[in-house]
Amino acid sequence: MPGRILMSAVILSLVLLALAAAGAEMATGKPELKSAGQLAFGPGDVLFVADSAGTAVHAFDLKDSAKPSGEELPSIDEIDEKVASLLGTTARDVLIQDIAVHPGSKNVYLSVSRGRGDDAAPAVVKVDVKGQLSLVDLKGATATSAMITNAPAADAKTRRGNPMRALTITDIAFHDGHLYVAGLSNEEFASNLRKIPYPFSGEMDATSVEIYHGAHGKFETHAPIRTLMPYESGGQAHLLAAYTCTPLVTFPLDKLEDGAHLKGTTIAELGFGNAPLDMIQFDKEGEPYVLILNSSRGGMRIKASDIDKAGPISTDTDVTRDEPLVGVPYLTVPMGGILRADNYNDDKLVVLRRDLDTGSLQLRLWTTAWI
Amino acid sequence: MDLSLLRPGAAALAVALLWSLPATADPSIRLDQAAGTVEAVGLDPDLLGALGKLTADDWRAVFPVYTGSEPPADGSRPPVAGAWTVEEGIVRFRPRFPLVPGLGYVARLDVAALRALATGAEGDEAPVEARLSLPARPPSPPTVVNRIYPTAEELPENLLRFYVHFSAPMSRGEAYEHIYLFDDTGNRLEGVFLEVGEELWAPGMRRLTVFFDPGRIKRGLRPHAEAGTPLLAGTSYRLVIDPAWRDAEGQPLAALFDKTFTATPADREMLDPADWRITPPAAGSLEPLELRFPEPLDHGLLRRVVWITDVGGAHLDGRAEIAEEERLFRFFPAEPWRPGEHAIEVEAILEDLAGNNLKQVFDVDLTAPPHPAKETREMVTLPFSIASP
Repeated sequence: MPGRILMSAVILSLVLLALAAAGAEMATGKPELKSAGQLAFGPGDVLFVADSAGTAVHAFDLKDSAKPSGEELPSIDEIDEKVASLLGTTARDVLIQDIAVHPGSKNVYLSVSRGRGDDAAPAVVKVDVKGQLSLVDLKGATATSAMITNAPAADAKTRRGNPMRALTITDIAFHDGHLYVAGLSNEEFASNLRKIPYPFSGEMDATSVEIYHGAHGKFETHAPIRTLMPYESGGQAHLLAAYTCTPLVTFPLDKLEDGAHLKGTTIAELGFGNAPLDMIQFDKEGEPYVLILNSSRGGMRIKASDIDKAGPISTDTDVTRDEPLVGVPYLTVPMGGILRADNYNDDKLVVLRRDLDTGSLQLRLWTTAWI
Repeated sequence: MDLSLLRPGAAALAVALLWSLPATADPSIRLDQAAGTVEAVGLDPDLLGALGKLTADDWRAVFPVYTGSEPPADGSRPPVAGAWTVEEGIVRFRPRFPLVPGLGYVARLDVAALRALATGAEGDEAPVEARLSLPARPPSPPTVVNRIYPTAEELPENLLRFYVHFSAPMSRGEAYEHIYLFDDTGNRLEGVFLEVGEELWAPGMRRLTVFFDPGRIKRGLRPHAEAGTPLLAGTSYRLVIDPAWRDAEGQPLAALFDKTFTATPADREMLDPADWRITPPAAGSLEPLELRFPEPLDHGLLRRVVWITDVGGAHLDGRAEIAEEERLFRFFPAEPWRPGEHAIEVEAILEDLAGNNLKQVFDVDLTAPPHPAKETREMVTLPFSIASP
């Protein structure tokens, strides 16, 4: 049954900070990958790897020129056991952070933490169309990096003890020459969205964006973004962002300019006791859809055309649990246990899934006809 | 080597050398514990000389190392990633990541297949297998929770976060399974914390930040309407750290740790430096500068965003201390105070316990009058003067 998502009035105002204040800086050259988190493919063979521990995003040229053979990835049970075998450790010491499909070769790349402690090492593992695993040689790959540091990083300057602040990069996405990077600090509760031109120029040209979202036209606040997705609609590019707290907000990308104040639209609130995990766009029978994966509310399928139609709704009434929800229609789709997804081909996604019957962590294809 | 071409003495020496080389023994596998490499020795010299053409794929097929005690019969899982080299009669496998102390590995050398790949000759040697492991590390003393911030016993019902400090590095990936909140009737509260899959550890993994679900704290959002604020003023709570939580070595904590507190009404006021009290130290002394707040402020940010500048505007070197339930910031200078004008610089992102900072309250009420000057400031400067002695 299609549900209705609450649509509330929203103000999304973007304040683009001066670079001096934001302190974003860029570097190119041989990066040192300290952790491997969110993944995104860019132009050509470029795989972006978010590195929260290194406060950077690295762009690796994978030189993955394998031609798709027509074969499709087989289902792989206990993918964590197999990754552990490759990395010479136990499955307990393997944390798979994200997955991404190389659009050309259809090889699937996994970002992995080997180990759980302070000595954990990053790895990127390739799974080919036969289901064979291999370790990607990141040290040998051509790479550039964009550092995402926050000035004034004065911790180091005086005797204040070890720096304790960390930025967790919650998502990255590439669109039209720019990398969008969302993050969450372990101290201040603030929005952290950055727009970085790619190829990384080595200049300080990242844009730091402070995002506010509102509720009912009455309140607004900073908030970190959990997952984001650029999408094209009606000839215009938008960014769809799911917040940790849990509005789903859309705004036009071309308005993301210095000093701009944008009014975005909250098209959904994902609701209490739930966290958005991942978001992708897919086509089904010629119709574009957005899929949101959630920690406890399964998958939500939204017609892209419904997002286009969604206008801001202003209401002065507080929502209650029993109140009928109004707004953009969505369909709850049975995707429980699915932690990550990426587009595989015209009619399939690849998913990282915890089988709820056996507990096995699977890497497998998922037919969009089921969504 | 054709020994007949050599003089008798030299031939005898050559034979002795050959005997002393491991190459004449049967092939075997050993672990170099210091280097963390797996080595195959005892391969005959003819074979060793022909190994240069083997690729990494070849090596993976003939001399793989696996985790566990048996190689998988069906190739159902991959061998350990690494690189193979041949030096001084030894084939050495160096794993890409260090072998895990205490974990079992099995190495298998298929000598016949190696000979076939290297020389094209059919071999009939039996494969060699060896079970290897590095000695387990002696366990460290159990890890404990050193402190939970905020330390006050009364906390606002819109409290935004806890910091949990540990005595040693912890383990990622299980935090939210081991941190509970109980109300005063002993009910465990569900869905109160923001569960961030990556977990919000400080570098070094000895401090975890636990945010309350911001959607439940912020007014006007659906989670707030559905479930209300996680805490209710007037109610007592117990935050429990379960000892099953494992540290970086995989050891459980030494003991359960808890913190009890009572919730007070929500705090929806911006920080106002006019309410702060500065106690300047005496010139020439190493006494601390004291900055006192009317309410507890965020421990992590206090540590990071407060700076003392000297007459010339430079940041003073020194040590900061946070005391009195995060209501007091003390700064001990590295050098004695010099008379003259000084200042305390505070980044405007400094927050109280409910996420209100020097620019805005946590959830801005748009129906209230705006403060444009405050909303855009990045730094607040509080001058103070040190009198000449």
